[in-house]
Amino acid sequence: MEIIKQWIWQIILSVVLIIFILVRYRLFLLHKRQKHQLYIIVSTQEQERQRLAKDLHDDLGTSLSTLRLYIAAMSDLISTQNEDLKQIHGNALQILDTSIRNMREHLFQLNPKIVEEHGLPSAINNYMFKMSRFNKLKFNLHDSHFPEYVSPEIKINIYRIMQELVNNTIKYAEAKSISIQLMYRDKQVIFIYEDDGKGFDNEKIKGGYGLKNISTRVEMLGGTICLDTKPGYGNNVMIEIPSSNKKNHVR
Amino acid sequence: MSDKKRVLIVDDHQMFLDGLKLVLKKHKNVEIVGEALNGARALEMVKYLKPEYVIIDINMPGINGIETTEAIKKLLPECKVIALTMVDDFVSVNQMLKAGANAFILKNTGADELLKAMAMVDKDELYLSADISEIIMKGIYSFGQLKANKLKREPEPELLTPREKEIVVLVAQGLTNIEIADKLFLSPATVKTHRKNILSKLNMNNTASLVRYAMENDLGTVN
Repeated sequence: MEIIKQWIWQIILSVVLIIFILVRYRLFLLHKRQKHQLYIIVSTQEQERQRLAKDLHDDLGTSLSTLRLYIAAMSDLISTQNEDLKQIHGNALQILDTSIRNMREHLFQLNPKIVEEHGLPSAINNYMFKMSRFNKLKFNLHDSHFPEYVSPEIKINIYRIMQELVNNTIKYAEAKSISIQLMYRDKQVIFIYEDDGKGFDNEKIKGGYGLKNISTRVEMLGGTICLDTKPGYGNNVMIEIPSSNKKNHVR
Repeated sequence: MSDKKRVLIVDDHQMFLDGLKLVLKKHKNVEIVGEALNGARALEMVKYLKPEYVIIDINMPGINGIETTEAIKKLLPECKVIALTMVDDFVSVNQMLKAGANAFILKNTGADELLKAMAMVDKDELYLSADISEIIMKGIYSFGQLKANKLKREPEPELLTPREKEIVVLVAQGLTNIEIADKLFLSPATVKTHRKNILSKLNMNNTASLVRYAMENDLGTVN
């Protein structure tokens, strides 16, 4: 009798254990699948942006700048007497110039080529410089010995995160200055972003597209993000990403 | 030898090359001696055509315009290189000029500006289109400031962000990470990372030197 009882207990225990292990395994697989899906979403988005940048530059860019050459050359053919034609020509040229300028802005936002060509600190500097030119913002980048061997995947994602944060600051924060720190320590990439704008209520904005995009990228890289803001108190973001990340296959 | 300006044009888009040829053709003192669709071909042509001017794009597959310009300047130092491109970021402009370009023009331009640039570079002067000179001026200023900050031996209090200064003050008051985290509504891990960053930025390795730093730089009050 005792032996049977013991047997039953052992069976129950084993079944519970097996169920527990199975559930954990399912959760593990689910998590892995979710992470993989995130990865696909972000990398597809990145590929699309780069493709769009290339198409814009090669097709539209070339056509517009060639058109600009031709229209400018027409000015010699228009007789000085014909005021109407001169005005039409002038307007056309002006519209064309604005289009080319706008297209250049789009290219600049879409294309992360500069990260690969000149390194992440230069790319951040360059972006901040350009954005502060039009927005009267002071900016400061502190980067101490940021190594170039950090994977392109991490570098491009940090660049995208930085763009998102700077654009948010410009759009909503009414900030006077932005400070960015880029560091590498204990095989961790540390990125700190601070602005002195009006801040926001983190709870209310949690689902916002920009922030979601940022945390998706951080999560995909296996990093952590700490958002530290409240109304009237600027926006402080600290991101840590392990750099010994093995999965650098797709960008 | 005629007194025509002998020009080689380089761009990876035939459409744009055709446009350039057409608008420059009506200027009698310009002769297009060759056209190349990439950097490698351009270098070959520079070798045997020996043009006086090369008008070149930056963004090209293979050897880009910056690398090509560097090579042209080695092959034929007296040849004047005019960058004609859509790229207008400070880093690329800077690199192109470092590579030896004599002029930098953005692609919303016409033949008139190209001729003006050629006349300028003839006198060994640098020609930059209006947008570009503004980028250069402001870029040198802000990039220069960044460099200057890095070169300073004594760390300035401005090196620390407002948040970091707050943390330094609280550390100097003897608070622990957990207490600081509580006070600033942060997680202790964030405070810890902040502290490590502050130390590495200031080139210090312990809390005592941080306290001294706070006193010396008068970081006494939290606002």
